[in-house]
Amino acid sequence: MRLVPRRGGSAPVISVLWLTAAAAAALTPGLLAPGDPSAVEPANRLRPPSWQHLFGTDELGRDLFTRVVHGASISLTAALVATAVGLVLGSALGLLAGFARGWTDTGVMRVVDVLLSIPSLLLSLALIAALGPGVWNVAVAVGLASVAACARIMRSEVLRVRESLFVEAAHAGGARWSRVLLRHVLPNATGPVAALAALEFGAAILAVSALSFLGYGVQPPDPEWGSLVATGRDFLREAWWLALLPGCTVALTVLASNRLARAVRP
Amino acid sequence: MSIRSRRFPRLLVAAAALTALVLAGCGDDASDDAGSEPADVASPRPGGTLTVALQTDPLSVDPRAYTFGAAVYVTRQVVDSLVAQDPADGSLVPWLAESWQVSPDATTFTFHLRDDVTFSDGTPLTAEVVKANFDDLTANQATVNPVIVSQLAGFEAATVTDEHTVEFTFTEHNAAFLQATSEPGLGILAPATLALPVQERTADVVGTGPFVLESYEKDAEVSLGRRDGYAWAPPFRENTGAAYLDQIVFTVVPESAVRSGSLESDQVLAIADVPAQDVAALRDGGYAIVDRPNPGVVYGLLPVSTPRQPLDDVDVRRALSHAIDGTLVRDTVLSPEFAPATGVLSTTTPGYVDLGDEIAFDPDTARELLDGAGWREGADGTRERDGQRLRLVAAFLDDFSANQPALELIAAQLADVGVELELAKQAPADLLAGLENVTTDLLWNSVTRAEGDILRSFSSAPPNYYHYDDPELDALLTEQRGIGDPGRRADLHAEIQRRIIDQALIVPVFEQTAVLATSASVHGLALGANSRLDQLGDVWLSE
Repeated sequence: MRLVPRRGGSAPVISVLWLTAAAAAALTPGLLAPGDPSAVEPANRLRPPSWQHLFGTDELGRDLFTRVVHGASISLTAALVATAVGLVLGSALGLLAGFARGWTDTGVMRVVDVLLSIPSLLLSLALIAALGPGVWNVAVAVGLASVAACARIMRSEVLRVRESLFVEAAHAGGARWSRVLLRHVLPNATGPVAALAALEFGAAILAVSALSFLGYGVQPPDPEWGSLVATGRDFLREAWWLALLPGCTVALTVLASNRLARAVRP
Repeated sequence: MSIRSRRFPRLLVAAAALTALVLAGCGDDASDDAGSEPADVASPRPGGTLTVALQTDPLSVDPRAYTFGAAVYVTRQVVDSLVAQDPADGSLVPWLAESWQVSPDATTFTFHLRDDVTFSDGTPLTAEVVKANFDDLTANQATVNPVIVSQLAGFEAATVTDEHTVEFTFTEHNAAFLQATSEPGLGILAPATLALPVQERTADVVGTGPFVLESYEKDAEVSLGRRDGYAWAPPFRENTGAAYLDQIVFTVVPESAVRSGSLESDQVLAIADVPAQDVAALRDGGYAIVDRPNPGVVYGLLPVSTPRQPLDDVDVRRALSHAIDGTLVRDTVLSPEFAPATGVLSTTTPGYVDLGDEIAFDPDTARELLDGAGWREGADGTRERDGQRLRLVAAFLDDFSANQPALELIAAQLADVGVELELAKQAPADLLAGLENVTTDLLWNSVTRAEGDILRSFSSAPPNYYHYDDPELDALLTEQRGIGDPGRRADLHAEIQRRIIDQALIVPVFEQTAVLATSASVHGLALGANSRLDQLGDVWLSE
């Protein structure tokens, strides 16, 4: 893994900077935007972007920049939880399938095949229907929908690693299977999964935003990127910034994490 | 790689430029239209097709199936009723029945039908057909809309006394039945339709109306054609004969911005449910805005947790009324067509009483009431009593686009007097569960009906979803059911409204209002007494 730009270009550096800013917004929103994201000011409604209101104001006169910054903590945390759910469950399944082989492998991978055959957003929607709306349910639903891809990658890596000489040596040396799995196979199979995690993080932001856009996420007046775009959609004619700026924020964050995923590719 | 990464910003710029161009294009269209269409005072011209974009699919053309706006818009064109309600004053006037009598205790209703009415399939309208309609309603109660079933409470029998006279008897007082017969839900269907199983009536309804159903394709369009020989429109209509329009086509366009765009690009001639933020632009663009406050209970917060703290205290409920500024809500999230609420009922409801002074916006009074009830301001501004925060959960459905912004603003207004309002946007099933388990404190709601009997939604009679319990109010609500004389009933309705406001069983905010927009070439489009689209017999199109 390396974080330096490969084959030239400044995109990865910009990506890192953007994601750092987004992470900062998520962790300490008050630092970037000290205002209250829910403070209404009807006299100042639907103002276009200006130095006072970088992203303009919404239909109740709330500062959109403040809402986007505060929304970062909800959107990014949800995406992080989704990625973690997908990664942990997917890796565990892949590890199990690749290491145990035989009927366990067949059984697990057929389930994974079935999951892969369902479009992930549709799967998330079905899970939301079962779990009920709410931002954490959205995160879990998005995470579960990405389990299959992680399991696939992990299994193929485990299959490659377990044929290595050092694994055979560990077996021959009398190590217990759990030790071989956790100390020898797992650490050597994580590279591609880490790259996938960065990719999945980008996809998770998009999926979480999509589900929030459809109204399954936060309760008003909490800001979340997808729900900000959904509200702004009604004002496309009068106030383009309401949908465009939160939308661009989502797009740039997803783009940045995809660029980063390409840079950390082993 | 480097080429690609440099090309990307250029793509972004191109996309932004394109967006700007498209937006500019929209603006130009609107201003062009403004100058082109002078006000037309010519006389009605027959012919043409009126296209109307609806927000939701009507789901059925059967008048007994649904009572929401889009469904009524369509079915009203095909189906006539026994009596008609004049939108000007809410009075009931002859339609299919040329006269009627109501017994003083409101248990017997006798209708004398016109003798020249035929259905569009040629069968004549007789007392037998009217009786068959009500027999069919009773037999199919399980599949008829519950709102319509409730209007028939206590229905015993329909009796044919002669070829054009039919008598309805009730086992309990039902003074509101007369107005109910003016709604499409109790409209009169042809024997051919009654012969069909209920499920097959969705797209196959024959009535006596000025238009005839041609086709209904779910989620796409409903097409209606003119009924030739129609001659029995209610007296308040300018054209009591056959309609001017050849055809009406209702299309379904769910996205509000797309609906406005469809009107501006001449793809349709009229749109329903105009989003508040587009009203000004459409009016400036030369489009006509057709609006009318919905009769019935205004949009407001219903205290549904009165069995427990803190809303068991009438002063806390009254404080909420004084803490909310309906005018600011209107000015911020709605359009000028909407009016702040001035009582339980909206101004277009028969029997409406102006109680605006009792619920006037006055945050100081609100604070005094809350102080008096023992709720003192806590550290973060939210009031507390015995270590408990004054926090209320308000549940709402996503069935009206202004619900969420209105409630967000109301939450901010309540926060000013130290009440924390938590919003819960819910699906209908969750909403009902919240009511049943009393986990919801306030319900955001409005009910449309042009009859004072709608006040019975504040009664504690089963199913009593709102857990109300006011014996004095219940007695008044029962009494008004048994009075056939409209004048005496109106007095009772006034007393009921005062009692509801006095007990703060609703925190009124604004009057729900139907807002439609039409192209300047559309004339005579009007809303009925229920503020739904009326029969379009008067409508004509200029060049």
